[in-house]
Amino acid sequence: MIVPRPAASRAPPAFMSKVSHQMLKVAINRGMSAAVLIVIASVFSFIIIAAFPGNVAALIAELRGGFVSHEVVEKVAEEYGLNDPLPVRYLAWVGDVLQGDFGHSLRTGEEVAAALGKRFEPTLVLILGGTAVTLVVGVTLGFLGAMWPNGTVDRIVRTVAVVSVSIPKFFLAAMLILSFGVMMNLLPTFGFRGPLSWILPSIAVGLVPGALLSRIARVALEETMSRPYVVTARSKGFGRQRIIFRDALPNIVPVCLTAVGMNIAFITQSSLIIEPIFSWQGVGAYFVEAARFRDLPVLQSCLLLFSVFFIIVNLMVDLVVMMVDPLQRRAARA
Amino acid sequence: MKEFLSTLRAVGWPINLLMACFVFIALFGSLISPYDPNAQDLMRATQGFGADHWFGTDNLGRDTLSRLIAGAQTTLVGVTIILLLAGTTGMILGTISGFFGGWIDEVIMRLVDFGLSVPSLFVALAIVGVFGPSYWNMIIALAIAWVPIYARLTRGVVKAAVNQPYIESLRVLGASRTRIIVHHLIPVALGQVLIYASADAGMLALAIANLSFLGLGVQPPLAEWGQMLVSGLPYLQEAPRLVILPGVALTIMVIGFNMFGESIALAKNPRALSAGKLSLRRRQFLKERAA
Repeated sequence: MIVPRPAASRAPPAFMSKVSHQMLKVAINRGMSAAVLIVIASVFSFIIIAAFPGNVAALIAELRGGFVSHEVVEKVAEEYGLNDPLPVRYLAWVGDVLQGDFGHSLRTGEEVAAALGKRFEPTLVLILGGTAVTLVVGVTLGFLGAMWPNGTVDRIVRTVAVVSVSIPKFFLAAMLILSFGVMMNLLPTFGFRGPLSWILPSIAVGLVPGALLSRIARVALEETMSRPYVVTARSKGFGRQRIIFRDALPNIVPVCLTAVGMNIAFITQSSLIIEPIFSWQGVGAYFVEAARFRDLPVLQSCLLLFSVFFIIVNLMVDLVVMMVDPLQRRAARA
Repeated sequence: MKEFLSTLRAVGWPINLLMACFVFIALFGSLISPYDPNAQDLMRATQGFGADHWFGTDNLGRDTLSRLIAGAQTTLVGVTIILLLAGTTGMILGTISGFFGGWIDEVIMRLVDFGLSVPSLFVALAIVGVFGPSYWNMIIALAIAWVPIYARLTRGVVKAAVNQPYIESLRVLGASRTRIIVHHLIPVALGQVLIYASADAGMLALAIANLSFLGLGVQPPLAEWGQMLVSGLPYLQEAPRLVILPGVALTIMVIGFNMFGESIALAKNPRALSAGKLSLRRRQFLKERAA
């Protein structure tokens, strides 16, 4: 006879108030160190440009075209405040950035903030699409692997995971273009034009982390399945699927969340490579262009923005995982 | 030497053979390459597989096989130099940080935290962007981007060792700081760094290819796989092998590095096993016991 499990009481336990107090403390602590990291990021982004070999003013004057005389260089240096001492320049730059003024591109003369705003959408689509592909691929394959451990699917997934870590992203993208774009002529491979054109880049970005996530999910599931409460559930006669979905699945959520959070950094890094291949005018492509043409203000702003983005994402992942995972909550209290 | 051989035995011969091939190509690649990798022959541009040119020629009539070999050399030499630079710098910083502690530790670790929170490709790209694209700037940029990992690793090892009884007794015996660091801490850290580096080499090969693919690493005419692939992209339809061959070569090399590093880590450091590797080990153990 199958005894239905009594509905779990949802009343918060007595120690909850104390826990949340402790969690707040930890959260503030993490926030403080993130703030320190952001300051370091700003100094780094500033220093790397200040360390530019040679005369920045001469470079700017040259890029502007026309005859570059000593006087012109002097004027440019004055205009950009390049003669001031470094700390003064740093503070002035930080002040500008905080007011949303990232300066002008040396190459096009366009305002960097406006250009970034225009290029924001493709990168966001890439990150969201890539994360969706990662989750779908990772969780599905991980489940299949855990349902039939060491079966055919599990073995194939394991091999694919090992190989996919080693495949260069640009090669994967080129193969996707070759098979789906050139040979089958199914999907657009060029430009950011509507949902159909989002498919290939999202796959190119999300497939590799998906294969990795499937391994993580599979291992976590396998570990959970050997826990005493799963054995108890089995002895009660519950089916395998019910155990996996009701008892084991909630336990791997923190693992998957951490993986997906770290994955955002990975996908954003991939945007540097994937966006140029598919001719997307995203932030990643902007950064690469700036590096190619020594567009110093753009380079500086992109580096700062990306660094701050990564630091904040890391912080969020930490906090969310802490809130979701009761074990971490307890660890934070100890 | 004996330890080295036993480690290699633990890795297994297929991976060892692959690694031996790579080392051979890195050392003697120019001797076995059938043509000069940079010699152009426009009369024979974009040929397919054939007896003359085994893997065909590219759009400028350069022999693909020779360029693949030269590309392997470029990557392997680059990876070696970067690992040496980043490993040494990281170990120095990590040892200082872990041994002395206090505010030095705090400062270095904050910088390392920053370096680890921003993906290395961004840092490397920014540095190359400022100093201009060239082979050596790429090497320096990647070395800088890779230092934090090694600093963190060394610091952990040193910090754990510093409070061990054997270091305490050395202090009691009156050993100088230099002696403790050079004779007792660095060897411990070096082992860990080498294990990590062998697993890291694949990631570095990918990073070099990534930068070169974006046109910010190895500059033409010097052959490199990422750069070969990008120059083959316009011919994807007519001659997909110009893209596939370097891509496959790079994938094989990275798989080789990854498996090599993983097996070494497994053989040398059974305690640092992940859950997945543990279950693998458990299965192997059960199989052996059953036999």
